[in-house]
Amino acid sequence: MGYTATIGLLLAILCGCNPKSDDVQILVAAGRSFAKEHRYAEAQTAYEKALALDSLNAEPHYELGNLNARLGRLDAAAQAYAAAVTADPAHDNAKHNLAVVEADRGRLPQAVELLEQLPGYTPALRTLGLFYNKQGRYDLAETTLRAALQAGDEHLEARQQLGQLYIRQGRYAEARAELQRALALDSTHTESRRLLGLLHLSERRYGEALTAFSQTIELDPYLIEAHYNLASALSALKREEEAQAALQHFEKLSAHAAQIARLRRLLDAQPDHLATHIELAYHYRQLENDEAALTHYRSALDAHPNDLQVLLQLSGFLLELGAENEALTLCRRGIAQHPEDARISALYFNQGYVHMQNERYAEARTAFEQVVKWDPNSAKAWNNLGNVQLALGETDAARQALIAAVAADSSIAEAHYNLGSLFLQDRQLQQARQAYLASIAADSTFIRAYYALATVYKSQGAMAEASKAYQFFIDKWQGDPNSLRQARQQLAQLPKP
Amino acid sequence: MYAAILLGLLLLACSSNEKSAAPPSPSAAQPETVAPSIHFVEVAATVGLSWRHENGLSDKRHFPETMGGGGAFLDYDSDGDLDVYAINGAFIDASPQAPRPVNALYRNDSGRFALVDAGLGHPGLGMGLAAADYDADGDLDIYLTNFGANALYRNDGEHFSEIGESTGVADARWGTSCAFADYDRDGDLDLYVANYVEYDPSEANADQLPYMAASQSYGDEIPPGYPHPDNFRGQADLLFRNDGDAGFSDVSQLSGIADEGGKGLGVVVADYDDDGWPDIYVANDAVRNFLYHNKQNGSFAERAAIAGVAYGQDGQMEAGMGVDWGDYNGDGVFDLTVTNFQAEPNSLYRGEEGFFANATFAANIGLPSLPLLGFGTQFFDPDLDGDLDLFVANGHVLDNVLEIDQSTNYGQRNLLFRNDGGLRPEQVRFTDISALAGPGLQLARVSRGSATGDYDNDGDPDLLVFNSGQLLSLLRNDREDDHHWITIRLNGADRNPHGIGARLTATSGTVVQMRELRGSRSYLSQSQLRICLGLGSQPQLDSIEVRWPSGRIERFGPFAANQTITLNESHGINAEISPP
Repeated sequence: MGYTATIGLLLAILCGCNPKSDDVQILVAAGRSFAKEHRYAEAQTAYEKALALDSLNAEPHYELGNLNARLGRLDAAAQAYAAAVTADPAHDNAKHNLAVVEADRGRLPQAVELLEQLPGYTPALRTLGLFYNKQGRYDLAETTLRAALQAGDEHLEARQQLGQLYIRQGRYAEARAELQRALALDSTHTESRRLLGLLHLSERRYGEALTAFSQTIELDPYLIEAHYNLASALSALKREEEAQAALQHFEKLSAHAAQIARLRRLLDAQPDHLATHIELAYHYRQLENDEAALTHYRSALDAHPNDLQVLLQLSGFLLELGAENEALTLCRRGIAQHPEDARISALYFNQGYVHMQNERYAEARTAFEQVVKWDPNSAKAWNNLGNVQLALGETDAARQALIAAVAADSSIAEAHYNLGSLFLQDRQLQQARQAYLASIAADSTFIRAYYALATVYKSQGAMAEASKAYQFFIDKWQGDPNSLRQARQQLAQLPKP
Repeated sequence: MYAAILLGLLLLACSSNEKSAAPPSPSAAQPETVAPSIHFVEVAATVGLSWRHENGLSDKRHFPETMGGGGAFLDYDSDGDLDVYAINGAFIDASPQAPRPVNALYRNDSGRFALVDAGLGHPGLGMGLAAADYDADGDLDIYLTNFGANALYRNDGEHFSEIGESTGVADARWGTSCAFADYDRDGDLDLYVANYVEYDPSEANADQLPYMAASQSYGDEIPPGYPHPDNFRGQADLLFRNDGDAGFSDVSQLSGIADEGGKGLGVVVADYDDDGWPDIYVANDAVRNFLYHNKQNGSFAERAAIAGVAYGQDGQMEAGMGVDWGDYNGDGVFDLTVTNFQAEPNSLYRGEEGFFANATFAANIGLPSLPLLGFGTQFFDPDLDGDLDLFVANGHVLDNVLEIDQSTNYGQRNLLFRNDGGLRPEQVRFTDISALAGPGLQLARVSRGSATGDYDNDGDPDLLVFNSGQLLSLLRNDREDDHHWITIRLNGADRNPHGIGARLTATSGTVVQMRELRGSRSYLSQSQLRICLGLGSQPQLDSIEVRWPSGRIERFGPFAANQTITLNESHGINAEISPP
C-alpha cells in the first residue's frame, strides 16, 4: 500500500466515517504499512481502532504485539500476543512471538514451554533450539535444530546455529560441514563465514582464519567482532603491526557499539527520550547503520514532532541519503514552527543546498540569504550564496559574497577558488593567482585549484609553473576523466623546458 | 538488553506456512565414560569451621554487599599445617554503636579448627587479602582489602599489629584482589592491589541501572537489584614498592599501572613470557582486562589486547572476576583462565609464545560455564595424575535474580573440570565432572572466593570456598585412587622467604610439570604457599629445577613419592614429614 493510500485510508477512518466489519482487515493492513514506514504512533492507532471494532480478532492483537516488541515494550507486547492466542488458540505466529518476548523478559522456562507446544511449526523449532542452547541443554538444542532442518526447507540460520554449537563442543568436522552447507546456500552469509574463521582459529590454521575474517569484513565492514577476530589471527601469525591496526579499528567500532548498548538501556526506561534517540542515531551513523539511525530519528520525531534539534539532524541526514523532498518538508516545518530561533539557519542552508543542486537558483539564493542573515559568520553559506549568484549572473553580488566567505573563514578553500574564478573571468590574473594559491594553502588536497592555477600561470607566460601545476593535477585528480584529458592536452601544448 | 531485543526481533515469526516437523525427543544427560576418582566432601562444620559470612544485605542493595568476600589457607603460626582466615562483610548503614562483624582466624590443630584471637578480628567491610612475609622475619603477614581503608597486619608471633597507615598502604578506595610479588626483583615483596569502582552508598538506588540490564531484559518494570558496574567510574589499581623499614611507596603512576579505565576484581602474577620477570594480569568487570608486561625497568606495558587476553573470543568485554595462571596442557607455557558473568563463558586462554589463543570452547570449559556466574577459580591437581584440573566457584550477584531470569538461581553449584589430556597441546580438553565428584560439589551456594590447600596434609589439595551471606565450605578431597604425590615448600634467600614467584619444572618419568609459586589467585583469596604435585603412578619425582625469584637456578632430586620436602635456596633439601 502506497504512502498516500495509507494516509487516505487512515484519515478516512479516523475522521469518523462508519467503517464496516471488514475494515478491521484494512486497518490492520494500514497499520502494517505505517509500521514498515517507521510511523509507529499511526500504526498503533490503526491497530487500536481495529480492536475497537472487533476485540476478538486475533490479528490486530498480534500486530500490536509485533509493534510493541519492535519498540522494546515487552510487557505490552506479551500482553498483546497473549490476547491474540486467546482469540485464536491456533495462531502459531502469536504463540511463537509470545515465547520470544517471554524469553526476552527473562522467563526462559515459560518460553520453552510455549515453544514445545508447537512441534509442527518449523520456526518454533529453530527458536527452541536457540533457547535450549541458552539453557545449557545442548543435546536438545542439536536434536531440535536437526528436526527443524528435516521438517522444512534448507534453512541457513539453522545450519549456522548447528555449526556454532559444534564448534563450541569441539566437533570440528561436523561444524565445518554445517557451515559449508550454510555458505553453499548463501556465500555472502557473514556470520557463517566468520564462524568458519573461528573454526580455523581453533584448529590453529591461522592463515585460513585470516582469509575467512578478511572476507567477512569485505562483506560487512561494520561487523565489529570480525575485526577482533582478524586481529587475533594477525597476532597469531606474529603480524603485530597489522594486528594493532585491526585492534584500533575494532576498539573504535566497539566504543560506538558500547554507547549504543548504554543508550538502548536508557531507552528501556524512557522510550520516548529525545536526546537518547538522537545520540543513538549519531552512533548508528558512525557505524553506517543508516536504517537504525533513521529509526531513532523518526522515533524522536514521532514523540516530539516539532523539536528543532530533531528536525535539524533528520533533515540533514535525509539530505545525505538523497531523500531531498522529505528533507525539504522537515526544513519547512522547522522554519514555520521556530521562526525566531537562530538555529533555523541550518534548515535554510539545507533548503538552499537542495535548490542549488536542482538548479533552482532563485530559491537557493533566498534560502542562503536567510542563512547569512541569521549567521553572518557562515563561510559556507556565503560561498554557496556567491555560487548561486554567479549562476544567476549577479557577478558583483557574487564577488561580495565570496569576499565575505573568506573573511568569515580564511581556510575555506572553495571560496578562495570561486573568487579566483571570478578574477580569472575578469582577466585579473594576479588576483586570480593569489586566490588559487590561497585555496591550495587552505587545503592542499583541493586538486581542482591546481588546474585553475595552471591556467593562470599559462596566461601569465609562466610556463614552467604552469607545467608543474598541470602535472600535479594529472597526478592527483580522481574526478571526471574529461578534466584529466583536458589537463593532459594543455600540458602537451606547453613548450618543453 | 539490546542484544536480547535484537535477538527477539530476528526471531519474530512472519509467516505460518512452514512445513510441520516431528517433535524433538528429549535426550538423557550425556553419560560419563570414565568415572572420576575425585570425591569432595563438605566437612567445614565437622572440623569446627562453622563460620558464616555476613554480607550486610539491605533493602538499599549497596553494591559492596554482593561482591565479597574471600579468605585464605595460610600457615600463620608456621606450625606446618594450614590455618583458615575468613573475611567478613558489614552493614553499611549500621549505626556506629552497633556491633560489627569481624574477620575470623581459625587455627588448625591436627585437622580440627579453633577460632583464635590474634588481633586479626578486623571490622572493615572486607573483600580480599594477600598473605606473605613482606618483612622477611619468618612469618606470614596479611594485607586486607576493604570497601574503605585497606589494612596491613604484621605478624609479631603470637599477635598481629595493624600498620597499614604507617607503612603507606591503607588506601581507602574499593580494594578487591591483591598480590605480593617482587616485581622489581630487588629481593623483597611488593604489593599489587586491584581497585574496583567509585561507589557512594549515599547515592544507592539513585537511578542506577541494575546489574543484569546489559544482558537481560526485564520487561517494562525493572525489579530492584544491585547496580551494574557501568553505573560507576573505575578506580585505578595500586602498586606499592617495598622499601624495607621505610614501608611502601606508591609507584602506581611511575610503573604505568594506574589506569582508571579498569574495574579490577581479580589479580594474578606470573612470568607468562618466561623472561624471568613477573607480569601481572588483572580481570576487570565489564571492561577490558589488563596484562601488564614487565619491562624490567620498574614499569609495565599493557599488552592484553595484542596478546589476546583483553576480551572474550569475539572481542566482547566480559565481567572478569576470578583468575589463575597454569600450564594445563603441559607445553611449558602458561595458560590463563578468567571467570565471567552468566551467559558469558569463563575464558581459557592457551599460551602460545607471546600470544594467547582463546581455547574456551575448544577445551570444553565454555559451554558448562555459560548458565553460571563464576567468581573464584584455580588450576590444581586434585586427582594427582600430573595434569592441572580446574575448579570454579559460582553464585549469582542478584539475590532476587529469579524475578528477572528464571533460568538461573542465586545459589549455584560449583564446577570441577577434569583434565582429560590430548594428543597435542591444543587438543587438551576438560570434562565437567561436577555431578560425579562427590557431595561437596552438589552444594548450590552463593560462592565468591576460593582457595586450595592440603589442610589435612594427606598429599592432595582440598578446597576452601567462601560463600556470600552463608557458611563457608571446606571441601575435603577424598580421592579414590592410589596416585602418588609430593608436596614442595620453598625457602628462598633474600627477603622473600617463601619463594613467591619461583618457577619449578618437575620431571617424573615422561611427565614434565611447570608451576610457579603464588598464593594470590582466584578471587579475593589466598591459596597455600606450597605446591602439591601429582605423580600419578610414578613412584618418584626424578628431578626438580627451581628458578628462584633471584634468578638463581638449582636442580634437586630424585625424591621418593608421597612426602613433603623443603627446597632451600643455595642450601639444598630438607625432607620433612611422612604421609599419614
